[in-house]
This record gives sequence, C-alpha cells and structure tokens, in this order.
Amino acid sequence: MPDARFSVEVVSGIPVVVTPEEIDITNADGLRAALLEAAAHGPGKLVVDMTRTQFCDTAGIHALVAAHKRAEAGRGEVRLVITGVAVLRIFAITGLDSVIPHFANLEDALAATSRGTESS
Amino acid sequence: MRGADERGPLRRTIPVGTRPGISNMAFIIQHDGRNASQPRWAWRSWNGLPPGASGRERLSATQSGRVDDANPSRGLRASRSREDWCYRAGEAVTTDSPSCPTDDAPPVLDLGFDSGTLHTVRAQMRACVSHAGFPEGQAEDVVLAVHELAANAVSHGGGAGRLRVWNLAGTLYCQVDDGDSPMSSRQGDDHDGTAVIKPSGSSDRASVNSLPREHGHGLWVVQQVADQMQSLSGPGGTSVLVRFDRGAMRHFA
Repeated sequence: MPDARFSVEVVSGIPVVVTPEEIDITNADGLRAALLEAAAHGPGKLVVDMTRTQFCDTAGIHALVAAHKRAEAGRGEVRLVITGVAVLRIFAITGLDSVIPHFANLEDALAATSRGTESS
Repeated sequence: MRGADERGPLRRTIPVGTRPGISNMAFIIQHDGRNASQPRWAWRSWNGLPPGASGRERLSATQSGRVDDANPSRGLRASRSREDWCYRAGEAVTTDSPSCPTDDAPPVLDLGFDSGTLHTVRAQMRACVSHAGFPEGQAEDVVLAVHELAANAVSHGGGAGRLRVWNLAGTLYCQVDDGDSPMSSRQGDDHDGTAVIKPSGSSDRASVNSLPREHGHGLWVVQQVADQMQSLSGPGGTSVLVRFDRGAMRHFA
C-alpha cells in the first residue's frame, strides 16, 4: 500500500489528523493513534482531513466512531473533510454521514461553528 | 458450491436468535432514524423463489461462532420485514450446498492474498468490475464488499485467503475463501486445476496478531450492497460468496 501513514498538525489552534490515500485494517491502528494524539491537544474540535483518502473500510469507520464518541463525551466534536466518492459512499451506507459533520474542504471544517456554540 | 467434495460436509446448522453483540455500528444505527424507516431490498434466491421460502434459498451470512456479524444492531433488524431475513429468532436453519451458477465456469480472477496485498485485491477488483461494465458508483460498492470479505479472511481466517470472481452475463460472483479453507491457495498448490495467481511482491505481511481484532461489521456492509450472499463454514474454513447484479445499485439517501 502506498504511504499509509497519518500525521497530526495544528491549524488555527485546531488539531487536524491528515489521512493517507487508503485506510483499511492494515493501518487503522495508525489512525487510532493519530486520533488519540490529536485529542490529547485538548477538548474541543478535532478535524480529520480525509481530502487525500480515496478508500476507507469498516476498520477506519470504527476508529472514527470511537473518536466521535470520545469527543462527545468530552463535549468536543469531530469534523471530517471528505472528498473521495468511495469514502462518501461508505459513510452513506453506514449512516455515519448524518452522525459526524463532514465538509468538502479543510477551510470549511475549521471555520464551521460548533453546534449551538460560538466558533473558536 | 464449488469444491463441495473437497471440503467435506457443507450441510450446516446455523444457530439463530443470539443476541447481537453491542457494537459501534449499533451506535450509528440508533442515532440515525432514517435506517429504521427506510426499507431495504428483499434478498433474492438463486432460483427465484420468493421470500419466505425454505431456509436453504435464503441467505444471510454467519460464520461459526461469529453470529454478531450476521446479526447487527437490533435497530437495523427492525428496519427489515421478517421476510427479508433468513433467520427468525429461535429457529435453526439448515443449509445444504445449493447448486451454484459458477460451478462450471472459469473465474475471470483468481487471486491469493494476505494482509500485505489487500490493496492489490482492491486494484484487481476495480479492473474486474470495470471490465464487466459496472457503473462507477456500483463498482466501488463491489470493491468495498470484496475488500471487507478479504479483510475478514486476513483478520479472522488465518491471515490469508483466496479470491475468485466469475462474470456470468454481467452478474459478478465473488468468492472469498479464508486461509483455513482447503479451497484457498497455498504456495504452489493447485487444488482443482485452476491456476492460482499470487501477486508479486506479496511481502511486508503484517502479523495477524497486530491487526485489529474487534469486529468491524464488514459483513453488515456487504449485506447492504450485495444482491445475495452465502457463507459456508466447514471444518476446513469458511467461504463467502456474493453476487452483484450490474446496475442494481442501492440508494442510501
């Protein structure tokens, strides 16, 4: 599999996990680790930038769901940037597209106000 | 099913009525009221029998001891009519091996795989599905479903498996045999005369123990997009066969 690593950056004070071209069982643990690292930056918003991601399986979905549940428990929020058609598809199939907010680009994900609160 | 005699008895009693395991997918379903009200399609049998026919014509997969994959959240179950499900609570279903349309046809793809070559499985499937004339959106459904089956074989079926694909008049049949199955490939083996293509550079195989153990509900996703699925387990391992009808793409609004 081509570069399968995840990176964590901080953009405008918000931790952003950048995902590679494909997410599956072979690198889902890397996604989990990156999500935990991003969450360690503090409560509040966490963005997963999946702009480059063209494929995501249920292992990736599970890691994202876990991050979402953790964030909600801490009154935070996970937001996703999704452009890949196949990724949008698995989100639609699993119903996750109506559970975790997703955006077409990073700027929108960073700028969007939280549900019911002022934007940071 | 192909190779029934190789595997010993395929007749299998599948336990039903087991309470589904709590899962993240249940969380997703419970929070999405849409799934509770939107009907799904009815499974079609191999030979056109209507829903409610005997258990052998109905599908729904389970693998021995892994009933949680076949019984996703209660919320999902509520979204289907009783006729849509093969299993009813408390009933045991005995399945004989049905005659499979692929038994006499050569596969268009025959590929061994392990954890290091799942991306090759996806790439080969994309080419296969495109060649079969599937529309792009549906093609991704097929690739996803086959990937989930292959990932299951890697995670739960011994670390390796075999994928075969048949194209019968525009209908794709994809069968994944896990590594425990005598139907899957081993180095240099040639069980039924079919040449097995091992992907080159099949290295970097992750240790099975390092892969995620929890159930990712891959089979649940497969059931959402496939037109039919059959799972057969025997002492030698598990095979899952899925069918995709070209142009029959599901909508998840």
